[in-house]
Amino acid sequence: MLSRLRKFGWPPALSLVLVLLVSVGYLGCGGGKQVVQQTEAAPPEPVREEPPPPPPARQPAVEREEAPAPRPLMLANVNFDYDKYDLTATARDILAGHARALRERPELNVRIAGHCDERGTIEYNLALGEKRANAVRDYLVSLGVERSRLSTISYGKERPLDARSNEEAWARNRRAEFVIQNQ
Amino acid sequence: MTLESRLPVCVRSNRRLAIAAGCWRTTRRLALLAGMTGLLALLPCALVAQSEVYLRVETNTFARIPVELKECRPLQQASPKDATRVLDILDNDLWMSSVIASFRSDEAPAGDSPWLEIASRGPAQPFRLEVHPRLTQQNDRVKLEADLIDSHSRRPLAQKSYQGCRDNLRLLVHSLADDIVNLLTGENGIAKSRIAFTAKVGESKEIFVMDFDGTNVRQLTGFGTLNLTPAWSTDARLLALTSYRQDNPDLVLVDGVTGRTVRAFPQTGLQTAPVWSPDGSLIAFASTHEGNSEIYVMNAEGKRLRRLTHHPGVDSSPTWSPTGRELAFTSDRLGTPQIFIMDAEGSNVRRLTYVGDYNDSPAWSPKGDKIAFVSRLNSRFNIATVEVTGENLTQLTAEAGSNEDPAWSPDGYRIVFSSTRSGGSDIYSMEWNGQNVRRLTHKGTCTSPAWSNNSRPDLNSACRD
Repeated sequence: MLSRLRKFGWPPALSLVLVLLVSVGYLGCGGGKQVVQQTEAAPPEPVREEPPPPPPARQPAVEREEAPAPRPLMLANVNFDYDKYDLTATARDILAGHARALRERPELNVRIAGHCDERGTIEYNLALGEKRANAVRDYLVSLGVERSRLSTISYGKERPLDARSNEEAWARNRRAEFVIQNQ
Repeated sequence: MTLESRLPVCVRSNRRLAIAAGCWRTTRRLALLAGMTGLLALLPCALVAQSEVYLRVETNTFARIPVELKECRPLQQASPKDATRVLDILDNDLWMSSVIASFRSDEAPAGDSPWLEIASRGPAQPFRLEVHPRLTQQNDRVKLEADLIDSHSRRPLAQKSYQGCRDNLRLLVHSLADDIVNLLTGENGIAKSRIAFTAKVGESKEIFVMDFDGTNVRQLTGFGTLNLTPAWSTDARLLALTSYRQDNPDLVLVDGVTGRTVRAFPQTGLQTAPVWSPDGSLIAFASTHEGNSEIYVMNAEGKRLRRLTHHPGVDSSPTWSPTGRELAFTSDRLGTPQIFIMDAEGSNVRRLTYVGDYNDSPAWSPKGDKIAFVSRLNSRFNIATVEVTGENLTQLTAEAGSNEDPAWSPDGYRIVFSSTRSGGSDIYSMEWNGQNVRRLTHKGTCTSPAWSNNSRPDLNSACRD
């Protein structure tokens, strides 16, 4: 390589410097590759150790900075007739609105809680509450909400909204509630 | 007979039926006693049967054996106050046994004493049991002794002795009461049994345990969630219940003394109303983990799960017959919730109740002949019993709030239930015919009572030395 450079009229000292530079450059490139390989290989270790904290911490922060926060979704209760789990016309109207809202916010999962009034046995009302929650879920699914986003639970008569024992309280307590699980 | 012609008869004759049934039971029991002890003279139950009036006292007293409680003597360090306590507890225990009419010889004859009422109506009873108790105390330890004497022949029938810590005096007396019941009837008493129930603690509902007479109320669980429908294991050590502690209504087993979780059975859907088989090997319960509410059985390890019902209606609230060969349960498969009976394998399903459009919470008597349940008639919830043949429907509660969750005492003579008769929901117990009602709790949020078999308490557990 040195004799060839000499052929082109380069002084020997300069040729030597050039050769050294090229070599260093070559070595440097090789070293660079190694560094890249290291940086590619190295991250998995720390990432594996603590993968969950960084992404959730960063992503919402980025979203908050770059896009306005979506309004928290609130879904109104639907009510049922005494000892019934089929949906009234009013309940269907309300659920149509819920389905629209949920289709617009596909990232949200919802838990539907079925409740009953105080009349009847604990076991019977637990079963009835579950049928109410299921009826609501099935209707939302029929309106295009993915079933995988909807879970159900029954509280029977254990969680009344209104503790009084009259028709008004009972009507309020026969309900399905919606809990948005990830907002 | 058609259904239409059958219903009004059952409803109209409720009260008469109650008396007739009571009389039959009384006769059977007395005959048993007479045969066993050879000491009893039978009073003709026709006296009651002829009456058209609903007789509150007579129904009880004719079934009861008179036991006279002599004064309890305090010896050594025992206080007269403790001696009086012994008599008070013993008197109540014996009365709650449903087979004994106890009275104190140191009391002035009271006009309303059932035993005196019997004596005034018929020939003098040739037999009554005299109990001569003594209480001895040395430091923290007490000894309760009692001579049991046939008052007629003056023959001593037995001498009993119990020792333990003074703090367990109540348990010592319970042991004496159970031995007296056993001596006179051959049956096990209920004085050492306990009742579990649920009550509100803040927003949650926790499991509580008390003695059969409503004393020693103790909070057992502290899950901070909803906990429902407790059921005692056959050996009275564990409770199975529905708990929301994992945010879903799942079955868990907790220790009946410490309240610690022994085992949990997480499952999708709703798991409710667990109940142990009489031999203690299986738990029946209702579950929706396959979609619809069906009855299942599994062993206490959660293994060998078997599905018993196969119907699109809601099947729930199972209860075992005392032989373990059959189960009663609630099903709305014919439109309204009604009680059905099936064989333990799930076959041979037949309907038991026809009156009313809402019958739920069946509880099979340990004696085997009756099933207690909740019945809604005229928008009110009441406790009723029906024989396993479907005959003799008897309404036990009336005009006293909402009455739910019936469960039998281990001897089959009493029924514990929840009632809103005093405003809030509390636990009450009554005799199998609806008589002798006792209020057991005063929290106002108590539901789902479950009556244990007799436990074997450690009489020395509370000793300080």
